[in-house]
Amino acid sequence: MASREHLAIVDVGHGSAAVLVDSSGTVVIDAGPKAGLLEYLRETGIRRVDVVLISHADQDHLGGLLGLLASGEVSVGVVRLNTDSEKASRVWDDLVYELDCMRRRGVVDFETSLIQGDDGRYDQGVVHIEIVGPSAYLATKGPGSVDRLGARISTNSISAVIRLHVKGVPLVLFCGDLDEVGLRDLVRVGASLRAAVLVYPHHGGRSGSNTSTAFAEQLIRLVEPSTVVFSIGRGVHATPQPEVVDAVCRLAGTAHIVCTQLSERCSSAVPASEPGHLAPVYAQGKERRACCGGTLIFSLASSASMLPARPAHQAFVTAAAPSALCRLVRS
Amino acid sequence: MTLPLELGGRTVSSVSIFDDQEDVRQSYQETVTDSGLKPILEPGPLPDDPESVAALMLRADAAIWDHHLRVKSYSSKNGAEWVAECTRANWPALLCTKWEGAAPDEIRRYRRFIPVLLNPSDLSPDSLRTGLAICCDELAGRVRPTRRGWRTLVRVEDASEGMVYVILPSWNANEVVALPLRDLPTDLRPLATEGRRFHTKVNLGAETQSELFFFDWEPE
Repeated sequence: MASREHLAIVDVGHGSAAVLVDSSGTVVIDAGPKAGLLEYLRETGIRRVDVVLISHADQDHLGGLLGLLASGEVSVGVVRLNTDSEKASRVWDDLVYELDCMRRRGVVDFETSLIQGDDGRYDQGVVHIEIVGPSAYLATKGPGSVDRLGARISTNSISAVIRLHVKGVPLVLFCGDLDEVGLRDLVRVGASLRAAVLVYPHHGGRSGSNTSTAFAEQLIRLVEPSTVVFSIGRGVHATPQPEVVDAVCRLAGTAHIVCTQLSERCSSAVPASEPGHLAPVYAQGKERRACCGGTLIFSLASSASMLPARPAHQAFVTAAAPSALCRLVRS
Repeated sequence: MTLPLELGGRTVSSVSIFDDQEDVRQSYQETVTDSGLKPILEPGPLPDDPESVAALMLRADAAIWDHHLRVKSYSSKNGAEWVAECTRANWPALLCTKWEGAAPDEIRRYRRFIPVLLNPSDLSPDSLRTGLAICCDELAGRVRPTRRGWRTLVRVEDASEGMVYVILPSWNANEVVALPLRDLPTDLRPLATEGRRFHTKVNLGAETQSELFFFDWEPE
Protein backbone atom coordinates (compact mmCIF):
# COMPACT_ATOMS: atom_id res chain seq x y z
CA MET A 1 0.00 0.00 0.00
CA ALA A 2 2.87 2.33 0.82
CA SER A 3 3.95 2.37 -2.82
CA ARG A 4 0.75 4.12 -3.95
CA GLU A 5 -0.57 7.52 -2.97
CA HIS A 6 -0.87 7.53 0.77
CA LEU A 7 -0.31 9.40 3.99
CA ALA A 8 1.84 7.68 6.59
CA ILE A 9 1.89 8.74 10.20
CA VAL A 10 5.19 7.12 11.02
CA ASP A 11 5.95 5.44 14.31
CA VAL A 12 9.16 7.26 15.21
CA GLY A 13 8.84 6.71 18.93
CA HIS A 14 8.24 9.83 21.00
CA GLY A 15 7.92 12.39 18.25
CA SER A 16 5.98 13.20 15.13
CA ALA A 17 6.64 12.49 11.49
CA ALA A 18 4.27 12.09 8.59
CA VAL A 19 4.92 11.39 4.94
CA LEU A 20 2.45 12.31 2.22
CA VAL A 21 3.07 10.56 -1.07
CA ASP A 22 1.09 11.74 -4.04
CA SER A 23 1.55 11.26 -7.75
CA SER A 24 3.05 14.73 -8.00
CA GLY A 25 5.44 14.60 -5.07
CA THR A 26 6.28 13.83 -1.47
CA VAL A 27 5.72 16.04 1.54
CA VAL A 28 7.05 15.48 5.04
CA ILE A 29 5.20 17.03 7.96
CA ASP A 30 7.51 17.04 10.95
CA ALA A 31 10.59 14.86 10.85
CA GLY A 32 10.54 13.14 14.25
CA PRO A 33 13.72 12.39 16.16
CA LYS A 34 16.70 10.26 15.20
CA ALA A 35 16.47 8.02 12.14
CA GLY A 36 12.84 6.92 12.07
CA LEU A 37 11.89 9.10 9.12
CA LEU A 38 15.00 8.06 7.21
CA GLU A 39 14.23 4.39 7.82
CA TYR A 40 10.69 4.84 6.54
CA LEU A 41 11.83 6.67 3.42
CA ARG A 42 14.50 4.08 2.79
CA GLU A 43 12.11 1.18 3.14
CA THR A 44 9.54 2.72 0.84
CA GLY A 45 12.14 3.67 -1.75
CA ILE A 46 11.56 7.42 -1.48
CA ARG A 47 14.69 9.28 -2.56
CA ARG A 48 13.19 12.72 -3.02
CA VAL A 49 11.17 14.84 -0.60
CA ASP A 50 9.75 17.88 -2.31
CA VAL A 51 8.55 19.76 0.74
CA VAL A 52 9.37 19.53 4.45
CA LEU A 53 7.13 21.42 6.85
CA ILE A 54 8.27 21.53 10.48
CA SER A 55 5.69 22.53 13.08
CA HIS A 56 8.15 23.83 15.67
CA ALA A 57 11.72 23.54 16.85
CA ASP A 58 11.47 20.73 19.39
CA GLN A 59 13.93 17.87 18.97
CA ASP A 60 11.19 15.28 18.58
CA HIS A 61 9.80 17.13 15.55
CA LEU A 62 12.96 18.65 14.13
CA GLY A 63 15.80 16.23 14.90
CA GLY A 64 15.04 14.00 11.95
CA LEU A 65 15.31 16.97 9.57
CA LEU A 66 18.97 17.33 10.41
CA GLY A 67 19.41 13.64 9.75
CA LEU A 68 17.50 13.89 6.50
CA LEU A 69 19.53 16.82 5.22
CA ALA A 70 22.90 15.36 6.19
CA SER A 71 22.23 11.81 5.05
CA GLY A 72 22.92 12.49 1.40
CA GLU A 73 20.49 9.71 0.56
CA VAL A 74 17.33 11.76 0.13
CA SER A 75 17.18 15.01 -1.80
CA VAL A 76 15.08 17.78 -0.31
CA GLY A 77 13.43 20.58 -2.24
CA VAL A 78 11.76 23.03 0.11
CA VAL A 79 12.01 23.42 3.89
CA ARG A 80 9.68 25.65 5.86
CA LEU A 81 9.56 26.28 9.58
CA ASN A 82 9.23 29.24 11.90
CA THR A 83 12.22 30.70 13.69
CA ASP A 84 12.33 30.30 17.41
CA SER A 85 14.58 32.55 19.43
CA GLU A 86 13.64 30.72 22.60
CA LYS A 87 14.84 27.26 21.69
CA ALA A 88 18.31 25.84 22.31
CA SER A 89 20.23 28.09 19.94
CA ARG A 90 23.06 25.64 19.29
CA VAL A 91 20.73 23.10 17.74
CA TRP A 92 19.16 25.85 15.71
CA ASP A 93 22.68 26.84 14.65
CA ASP A 94 23.31 23.23 13.65
CA LEU A 95 20.24 23.28 11.44
CA VAL A 96 21.20 26.57 9.87
CA TYR A 97 24.73 25.24 9.31
CA GLU A 98 23.42 22.15 7.55
CA LEU A 99 20.91 24.11 5.49
CA ASP A 100 23.59 26.58 4.54
CA CYS A 101 25.88 23.76 3.40
CA MET A 102 23.11 22.54 1.16
CA ARG A 103 21.97 25.93 -0.04
CA ARG A 104 25.51 26.79 -1.13
CA ARG A 105 25.29 23.73 -3.32
CA GLY A 106 21.93 25.01 -4.54
CA VAL A 107 20.07 21.96 -3.35
CA VAL A 108 17.47 23.29 -0.90
CA ASP A 109 15.02 26.19 -0.71
CA PHE A 110 14.73 27.23 2.93
CA GLU A 111 12.53 29.89 4.51
CA THR A 112 11.74 30.63 8.11
CA SER A 113 8.05 31.21 7.63
CA LEU A 114 5.18 28.80 8.03
CA ILE A 115 2.09 30.71 9.06
CA GLN A 116 -1.61 30.95 8.44
CA GLY A 117 -2.31 31.98 4.89
CA ASP A 118 0.53 30.03 3.29
CA ASP A 119 -2.16 27.90 1.68
CA GLY A 120 -1.75 26.37 -1.68
CA ARG A 121 2.01 26.84 -1.83
CA TYR A 122 2.75 23.23 -0.96
CA ASP A 123 -0.20 21.40 -2.53
CA GLN A 124 0.50 18.04 -4.10
CA GLY A 125 -1.84 16.46 -6.65
CA VAL A 126 -5.24 15.88 -5.05
CA VAL A 127 -4.05 17.07 -1.65
CA HIS A 128 -4.54 20.67 -0.55
CA ILE A 129 -2.20 21.57 2.29
CA GLU A 130 -3.69 24.26 4.49
CA ILE A 131 -1.55 26.09 7.02
CA VAL A 132 -4.17 26.74 9.69
CA GLY A 133 -1.82 28.38 12.18
CA PRO A 134 -0.05 30.08 13.77
CA SER A 135 -1.66 33.39 12.97
CA ALA A 136 0.60 36.14 11.73
CA TYR A 137 -0.07 37.92 15.02
CA LEU A 138 1.15 35.07 17.20
CA ALA A 139 4.08 34.23 14.94
CA THR A 140 5.18 37.86 14.93
CA LYS A 141 4.90 38.17 18.70
CA GLY A 142 6.97 35.00 18.96
CA PRO A 143 8.00 32.72 21.82
CA GLY A 144 8.98 34.52 24.97
CA SER A 145 6.46 37.34 24.59
CA VAL A 146 2.84 37.45 25.76
CA ASP A 147 -0.47 37.42 23.93
CA ARG A 148 -3.34 39.89 24.27
CA LEU A 149 -4.43 38.24 27.51
CA GLY A 150 -0.96 38.39 28.98
CA ALA A 151 -0.36 34.67 28.62
CA ARG A 152 3.16 33.64 27.78
CA ILE A 153 3.74 32.53 24.21
CA SER A 154 5.91 29.43 24.10
CA THR A 155 7.50 27.43 21.33
CA ASN A 156 4.51 25.10 21.50
CA SER A 157 2.09 28.02 21.18
CA ILE A 158 3.35 28.79 17.70
CA SER A 159 3.34 25.21 16.48
CA ALA A 160 2.33 25.17 12.85
CA VAL A 161 -1.08 23.55 12.55
CA ILE A 162 -1.48 21.86 9.18
CA ARG A 163 -4.65 20.42 7.68
CA LEU A 164 -4.69 18.13 4.67
CA HIS A 165 -7.69 18.17 2.38
CA VAL A 166 -8.15 15.35 -0.08
CA LYS A 167 -10.49 16.15 -2.97
CA GLY A 168 -12.00 18.96 -0.94
CA VAL A 169 -12.55 16.93 2.22
CA PRO A 170 -10.53 17.78 5.35
CA LEU A 171 -8.77 14.51 6.15
CA VAL A 172 -6.05 15.09 8.74
CA LEU A 173 -5.20 17.82 11.22
CA PHE A 174 -1.61 17.94 12.47
CA CYS A 175 -1.23 20.06 15.59
CA GLY A 176 2.45 19.83 16.45
CA ASP A 177 2.66 20.54 20.16
CA LEU A 178 -0.08 23.17 20.11
CA ASP A 179 -0.98 24.43 23.55
CA GLU A 180 -3.88 26.39 25.01
CA VAL A 181 -2.39 29.74 24.02
CA GLY A 182 -2.03 28.63 20.42
CA LEU A 183 -5.49 27.07 20.35
CA ARG A 184 -7.10 30.17 21.82
CA ASP A 185 -5.50 32.25 19.11
CA LEU A 186 -6.78 29.93 16.37
CA VAL A 187 -10.29 30.25 17.80
CA ARG A 188 -9.85 34.03 17.94
CA VAL A 189 -9.12 34.22 14.22
CA GLY A 190 -11.98 31.87 13.39
CA ALA A 191 -9.86 29.03 12.01
CA SER A 192 -11.72 25.88 11.05
CA LEU A 193 -10.14 22.79 12.54
CA ARG A 194 -12.56 20.10 11.43
CA ALA A 195 -10.92 16.92 10.13
CA ALA A 196 -11.59 13.18 10.07
CA VAL A 197 -8.24 12.39 11.68
CA LEU A 198 -6.70 14.34 14.52
CA VAL A 199 -3.04 13.88 15.33
CA TYR A 200 -3.33 14.97 18.93
CA PRO A 201 -0.96 17.73 20.03
CA HIS A 202 2.02 17.09 22.23
CA HIS A 203 1.62 13.33 22.01
CA GLY A 204 -1.34 13.44 24.37
CA GLY A 205 0.69 15.16 27.04
CA ARG A 206 -0.13 18.18 29.11
CA SER A 207 -1.14 21.26 27.16
CA GLY A 208 0.94 23.72 29.10
CA SER A 209 -0.99 24.19 32.32
CA ASN A 210 -3.33 22.24 34.56
CA THR A 211 -6.16 22.39 32.03
CA SER A 212 -5.41 19.32 29.90
CA THR A 213 -9.02 18.17 30.21
CA ALA A 214 -10.48 21.52 29.19
CA PHE A 215 -8.02 21.79 26.31
CA ALA A 216 -8.86 18.30 25.09
CA GLU A 217 -12.58 18.95 25.32
CA GLN A 218 -12.32 22.17 23.36
CA LEU A 219 -10.09 20.62 20.71
CA ILE A 220 -12.32 17.61 20.16
CA ARG A 221 -15.39 19.85 19.81
CA LEU A 222 -13.59 21.94 17.20
CA VAL A 223 -12.15 19.04 15.18
CA GLU A 224 -14.94 16.42 15.49
CA PRO A 225 -12.58 13.61 14.51
CA SER A 226 -13.51 10.03 13.77
CA THR A 227 -9.92 8.95 14.44
CA VAL A 228 -7.57 10.32 17.08
CA VAL A 229 -3.88 9.49 16.84
CA PHE A 230 -1.35 9.77 19.65
CA SER A 231 2.18 9.60 18.29
CA ILE A 232 4.09 8.31 21.30
CA GLY A 233 7.14 6.39 22.41
CA ARG A 234 6.68 3.60 24.92
CA GLY A 235 8.42 4.44 28.16
CA VAL A 236 8.91 8.11 27.28
CA HIS A 237 7.02 10.78 29.21
CA ALA A 238 4.16 8.38 30.05
CA THR A 239 1.91 9.67 27.27
CA PRO A 240 -0.92 9.83 26.51
CA GLN A 241 -2.23 11.34 29.73
CA PRO A 242 -5.29 9.47 31.06
CA GLU A 243 -7.33 12.66 31.41
CA VAL A 244 -6.71 13.44 27.74
CA VAL A 245 -7.86 10.00 26.61
CA ASP A 246 -10.85 10.28 28.93
CA ALA A 247 -11.89 13.60 27.37
CA VAL A 248 -11.44 12.21 23.87
CA CYS A 249 -13.60 9.20 24.68
CA ARG A 250 -16.33 11.27 26.30
CA LEU A 251 -16.57 13.81 23.53
CA ALA A 252 -15.52 11.92 20.42
CA GLY A 253 -18.01 9.13 21.03
CA THR A 254 -17.16 6.21 18.80
CA ALA A 255 -13.92 7.69 17.45
CA HIS A 256 -11.11 5.25 16.84
CA ILE A 257 -8.29 6.02 19.27
CA VAL A 258 -4.90 4.72 18.22
CA CYS A 259 -1.43 5.21 19.64
CA THR A 260 1.57 4.49 17.48
CA GLN A 261 3.25 2.64 20.34
CA LEU A 262 1.90 0.73 23.30
CA SER A 263 1.91 3.07 26.26
CA GLU A 264 3.21 1.69 29.50
CA ARG A 265 -0.01 3.12 30.99
CA CYS A 266 -1.92 0.61 28.85
CA SER A 267 0.21 -2.45 29.43
CA SER A 268 3.20 -3.03 31.64
CA ALA A 269 4.50 -5.70 29.26
CA VAL A 270 4.92 -5.90 25.52
CA PRO A 271 3.27 -8.77 23.63
CA ALA A 272 5.07 -12.08 23.87
CA SER A 273 4.90 -12.61 20.12
CA GLU A 274 5.02 -10.45 17.01
CA PRO A 275 1.67 -8.72 16.45
CA GLY A 276 0.06 -9.58 13.15
CA HIS A 277 -2.07 -6.49 12.62
CA LEU A 278 0.58 -3.89 11.85
CA ALA A 279 1.06 -2.29 8.46
CA PRO A 280 3.96 -3.97 6.62
CA VAL A 281 6.20 -0.92 6.82
CA TYR A 282 8.85 0.47 9.14
CA ALA A 283 7.76 1.31 12.66
CA GLN A 284 10.28 2.19 15.34
CA GLY A 285 8.50 0.06 17.91
CA LYS A 286 8.61 -3.16 15.89
CA GLU A 287 12.07 -4.19 17.01
CA ARG A 288 10.99 -4.15 20.68
CA ARG A 289 7.42 -5.32 19.99
CA ALA A 290 6.36 -1.94 21.38
CA CYS A 291 3.86 -1.04 18.67
CA CYS A 292 0.17 -0.53 19.25
CA GLY A 293 -1.04 0.91 15.93
CA GLY A 294 2.51 1.27 14.68
CA THR A 295 2.92 3.28 11.51
CA LEU A 296 -0.54 4.25 10.26
CA ILE A 297 -1.19 4.30 6.52
CA PHE A 298 -4.12 6.23 5.09
CA SER A 299 -5.02 5.70 1.47
CA LEU A 300 -5.64 8.90 -0.49
CA ALA A 301 -7.90 6.98 -2.80
CA SER A 302 -10.22 6.09 0.03
CA SER A 303 -10.02 8.43 2.99
CA ALA A 304 -11.80 5.93 5.21
CA SER A 305 -9.18 3.28 4.60
CA MET A 306 -6.43 2.91 7.19
CA LEU A 307 -3.83 0.27 7.96
CA PRO A 308 -3.96 -1.29 10.40
CA ALA A 309 -7.71 -1.60 10.01
CA ARG A 310 -9.75 -0.64 13.03
CA PRO A 311 -11.12 -4.13 13.82
CA ALA A 312 -7.65 -5.66 13.68
CA HIS A 313 -6.17 -2.93 15.86
CA GLN A 314 -8.95 -3.20 18.41
CA ALA A 315 -8.62 -6.98 18.50
CA PHE A 316 -4.93 -6.51 19.29
CA VAL A 317 -5.70 -4.07 22.10
CA THR A 318 -8.31 -6.41 23.56
CA ALA A 319 -5.85 -9.28 23.61
CA ALA A 320 -2.61 -7.52 24.50
CA ALA A 321 -3.77 -4.58 26.60
CA PRO A 322 -7.19 -5.25 28.13
CA SER A 323 -6.52 -2.42 30.59
CA ALA A 324 -5.65 0.06 27.87
CA LEU A 325 -6.71 3.65 28.52
CA CYS A 326 -8.92 3.68 25.45
CA ARG A 327 -10.77 0.63 26.74
CA LEU A 328 -11.05 1.51 30.42
CA VAL A 329 -12.94 4.73 29.91
CA ARG A 330 -15.45 3.11 27.58
CA SER A 331 -16.09 -0.14 29.42
CA MET B 1 19.63 -33.52 20.55
CA THR B 2 20.69 -30.57 18.44
CA LEU B 3 18.22 -28.20 16.83
CA PRO B 4 20.27 -26.35 14.26
CA LEU B 5 19.33 -22.84 13.33
CA GLU B 6 18.57 -22.43 9.63
CA LEU B 7 19.16 -18.78 8.89
CA GLY B 8 18.85 -17.67 5.28
CA GLY B 9 21.07 -20.33 3.79
CA ARG B 10 23.37 -20.62 6.79
CA THR B 11 23.14 -23.49 9.27
CA VAL B 12 24.25 -22.94 12.84
CA SER B 13 24.47 -26.13 14.85
CA SER B 14 27.59 -25.52 16.93
CA VAL B 15 28.89 -22.57 18.96
CA SER B 16 32.43 -21.95 20.20
CA ILE B 17 32.71 -20.47 23.68
CA PHE B 18 35.55 -18.06 24.39
CA ASP B 19 36.06 -16.98 28.01
CA ASP B 20 39.20 -16.95 30.13
CA GLN B 21 37.29 -18.39 33.11
CA GLU B 22 36.56 -22.09 33.05
CA ASP B 23 33.46 -21.84 35.25
CA VAL B 24 31.98 -19.31 32.85
CA ARG B 25 32.74 -21.55 29.88
CA GLN B 26 30.95 -24.38 31.70
CA SER B 27 27.96 -22.15 32.39
CA TYR B 28 27.73 -21.04 28.78
CA GLN B 29 28.12 -24.66 27.72
CA GLU B 30 24.86 -25.46 29.49
CA THR B 31 23.13 -22.52 27.85
CA VAL B 32 24.31 -23.53 24.41
CA THR B 33 23.23 -27.13 24.99
CA ASP B 34 19.83 -26.04 26.28
CA SER B 35 19.40 -23.92 23.17
CA GLY B 36 19.71 -27.03 21.03
CA LEU B 37 23.20 -26.30 19.76
CA LYS B 38 26.52 -28.06 20.28
CA PRO B 39 29.04 -26.23 22.47
CA ILE B 40 32.74 -26.14 21.65
CA LEU B 41 34.80 -24.98 24.61
CA GLU B 42 37.90 -22.96 23.81
CA PRO B 43 40.26 -23.08 26.79
CA GLY B 44 42.91 -20.93 25.13
CA PRO B 45 45.44 -19.53 24.81
CA LEU B 46 44.23 -18.05 21.56
CA PRO B 47 46.52 -17.65 18.58
CA ASP B 48 47.53 -14.46 16.86
CA ASP B 49 48.72 -15.69 13.48
CA PRO B 50 46.16 -15.43 10.66
CA GLU B 51 46.30 -19.12 9.72
CA SER B 52 45.53 -20.28 13.25
CA VAL B 53 42.82 -17.71 13.66
CA ALA B 54 41.21 -18.88 10.43
CA ALA B 55 41.38 -22.47 11.67
CA LEU B 56 39.75 -21.37 14.92
CA MET B 57 36.78 -20.06 12.99
CA LEU B 58 36.29 -23.42 11.31
CA ARG B 59 35.77 -25.31 14.56
CA ALA B 60 32.14 -24.21 14.95
CA ASP B 61 29.39 -22.40 13.07
CA ALA B 62 29.28 -19.42 15.43
CA ALA B 63 30.80 -18.07 18.63
CA ILE B 64 30.14 -16.40 21.95
CA TRP B 65 32.89 -14.14 23.21
CA ASP B 66 33.65 -12.67 26.58
CA HIS B 67 35.28 -9.24 26.41
CA HIS B 68 37.87 -9.16 29.19
CA LEU B 69 40.28 -11.68 27.70
CA ARG B 70 43.68 -10.04 27.97
CA VAL B 71 44.27 -11.72 31.28
CA LYS B 72 46.03 -14.91 32.34
CA SER B 73 47.58 -15.13 28.83
CA TYR B 74 44.25 -16.24 27.38
CA SER B 75 44.46 -13.80 24.50
CA SER B 76 46.41 -10.78 23.31
CA LYS B 77 43.15 -9.13 22.26
CA ASN B 78 39.92 -8.39 24.04
CA GLY B 79 36.63 -9.88 22.99
CA ALA B 80 35.26 -6.80 21.26
CA GLU B 81 38.19 -6.85 18.87
CA TRP B 82 37.75 -10.58 18.34
CA VAL B 83 34.04 -10.25 17.56
CA ALA B 84 34.81 -7.51 15.06
CA GLU B 85 37.38 -9.78 13.42
CA CYS B 86 34.86 -12.62 13.30
CA THR B 87 32.20 -10.40 11.76
CA ARG B 88 34.58 -9.13 9.12
CA ALA B 89 35.45 -12.78 8.40
CA ASN B 90 31.73 -13.58 8.00
CA TRP B 91 31.70 -15.78 11.12
CA PRO B 92 28.64 -15.11 13.32
CA ALA B 93 29.78 -13.97 16.75
CA LEU B 94 28.15 -12.23 19.65
CA LEU B 95 29.74 -10.48 22.62
CA CYS B 96 28.60 -11.43 26.10
CA THR B 97 30.10 -9.20 28.75
CA LYS B 98 29.49 -7.24 31.91
CA TRP B 99 32.10 -4.69 30.82
CA GLU B 100 29.88 -2.63 28.51
CA GLY B 101 29.39 0.13 31.05
CA ALA B 102 32.92 0.04 32.43
CA ALA B 103 34.80 -0.04 29.14
CA PRO B 104 32.53 1.82 26.72
CA ASP B 105 35.36 3.28 24.65
CA GLU B 106 37.10 -0.07 24.21
CA ILE B 107 33.90 -1.64 22.96
CA ARG B 108 32.64 1.35 20.97
CA ARG B 109 35.71 1.29 18.77
CA TYR B 110 34.56 -2.10 17.45
CA ARG B 111 30.81 -1.67 17.97
CA ARG B 112 30.09 -1.32 14.29
CA PHE B 113 31.12 -4.94 13.85
CA ILE B 114 29.40 -6.28 16.99
CA PRO B 115 25.83 -7.07 15.90
CA VAL B 116 24.77 -8.34 19.31
CA LEU B 117 26.03 -7.44 22.77
CA LEU B 118 24.49 -9.22 25.74
CA ASN B 119 25.02 -8.92 29.45
CA PRO B 120 25.64 -12.38 30.95
CA SER B 121 22.49 -11.98 33.02
CA ASP B 122 20.49 -11.76 29.79
CA LEU B 123 22.04 -14.81 28.18
CA SER B 124 19.52 -17.63 27.87
CA PRO B 125 18.76 -20.31 25.31
CA ASP B 126 16.18 -18.00 23.72
CA SER B 127 18.37 -14.91 23.70
CA LEU B 128 21.25 -16.93 22.31
CA ARG B 129 19.21 -18.25 19.39
CA THR B 130 17.75 -14.81 18.77
CA GLY B 131 21.18 -13.21 18.99
CA LEU B 132 22.68 -15.66 16.53
CA ALA B 133 19.80 -15.03 14.15
CA ILE B 134 20.48 -11.31 14.34
CA CYS B 135 24.20 -11.89 13.70
CA CYS B 136 23.44 -14.01 10.65
CA ASP B 137 20.94 -11.47 9.36
CA GLU B 138 23.47 -8.68 9.63
CA LEU B 139 26.10 -10.75 7.85
CA ALA B 140 23.55 -11.26 5.07
CA GLY B 141 23.04 -7.50 4.79
CA ARG B 142 19.77 -7.32 6.70
CA VAL B 143 20.75 -4.60 9.14
CA ARG B 144 18.39 -3.55 11.92
CA PRO B 145 17.45 0.13 12.12
CA THR B 146 19.32 0.44 15.42
CA ARG B 147 22.48 -0.66 13.64
CA ARG B 148 22.31 1.21 10.33
CA GLY B 149 24.84 4.00 9.82
CA TRP B 150 23.70 7.35 8.43
CA ARG B 151 25.79 10.33 7.47
CA THR B 152 25.08 13.01 10.04
CA LEU B 153 26.32 16.21 11.63
CA VAL B 154 28.46 16.10 14.76
CA ARG B 155 29.32 19.16 16.86
CA VAL B 156 32.24 19.28 19.28
CA GLU B 157 31.30 20.51 22.73
CA ASP B 158 34.73 20.14 24.28
CA ALA B 159 38.02 18.34 23.90
CA SER B 160 40.49 17.66 26.68
CA GLU B 161 42.86 15.04 28.00
CA GLY B 162 42.65 12.81 24.99
CA MET B 163 38.86 12.85 24.84
CA VAL B 164 36.45 14.71 22.57
CA TYR B 165 32.92 15.41 23.70
CA VAL B 166 30.36 15.67 20.93
CA ILE B 167 26.68 16.31 20.32
CA LEU B 168 24.74 14.50 17.63
CA PRO B 169 21.95 17.04 17.07
CA SER B 170 19.86 14.66 14.99
CA TRP B 171 20.14 11.93 17.63
CA ASN B 172 19.85 13.82 20.89
CA ALA B 173 20.82 17.44 21.27
CA ASN B 174 20.79 17.08 25.05
CA GLU B 175 23.24 14.23 25.46
CA VAL B 176 27.00 14.54 25.18
CA VAL B 177 28.87 11.54 23.81
CA ALA B 178 32.48 11.05 24.85
CA LEU B 179 34.93 9.65 22.33
CA PRO B 180 38.64 9.01 22.63
CA LEU B 181 40.42 11.47 20.40
CA ARG B 182 42.39 8.58 18.93
CA ASP B 183 39.16 7.25 17.42
CA LEU B 184 39.05 10.24 15.06
CA PRO B 185 41.11 10.19 11.87
CA THR B 186 44.57 11.63 12.44
CA ASP B 187 44.00 14.66 10.27
CA LEU B 188 40.82 15.65 12.14
CA ARG B 189 42.19 15.38 15.67
CA PRO B 190 43.77 18.86 15.80
CA LEU B 191 40.50 20.30 14.44
CA ALA B 192 38.37 18.84 17.23
CA THR B 193 37.82 22.03 19.21
CA GLU B 194 34.73 23.50 20.81
CA GLY B 195 32.06 24.46 18.29
CA ARG B 196 33.68 22.67 15.39
CA ARG B 197 31.38 20.57 13.22
CA PHE B 198 32.05 17.45 11.22
CA HIS B 199 30.10 14.94 9.22
CA THR B 200 30.46 11.27 9.98
CA LYS B 201 28.34 8.15 9.84
CA VAL B 202 26.52 7.08 12.98
CA ASN B 203 23.81 4.53 13.70
CA LEU B 204 21.21 7.17 14.50
CA GLY B 205 18.61 4.55 15.34
CA ALA B 206 20.55 3.52 18.44
CA GLU B 207 18.45 3.76 21.55
CA THR B 208 21.27 4.33 24.02
CA GLN B 209 24.62 6.06 23.88
CA SER B 210 26.49 2.83 24.47
CA GLU B 211 25.15 1.44 21.18
CA LEU B 212 26.45 4.34 19.09
CA PHE B 213 29.35 3.87 16.73
CA PHE B 214 31.07 6.30 14.40
CA PHE B 215 32.79 5.71 11.09
CA ASP B 216 33.68 7.38 7.78
CA TRP B 217 34.60 10.74 9.31
CA GLU B 218 34.80 13.36 6.59
CA PRO B 219 37.64 15.81 6.24
CA GLU B 220 36.69 19.46 6.27
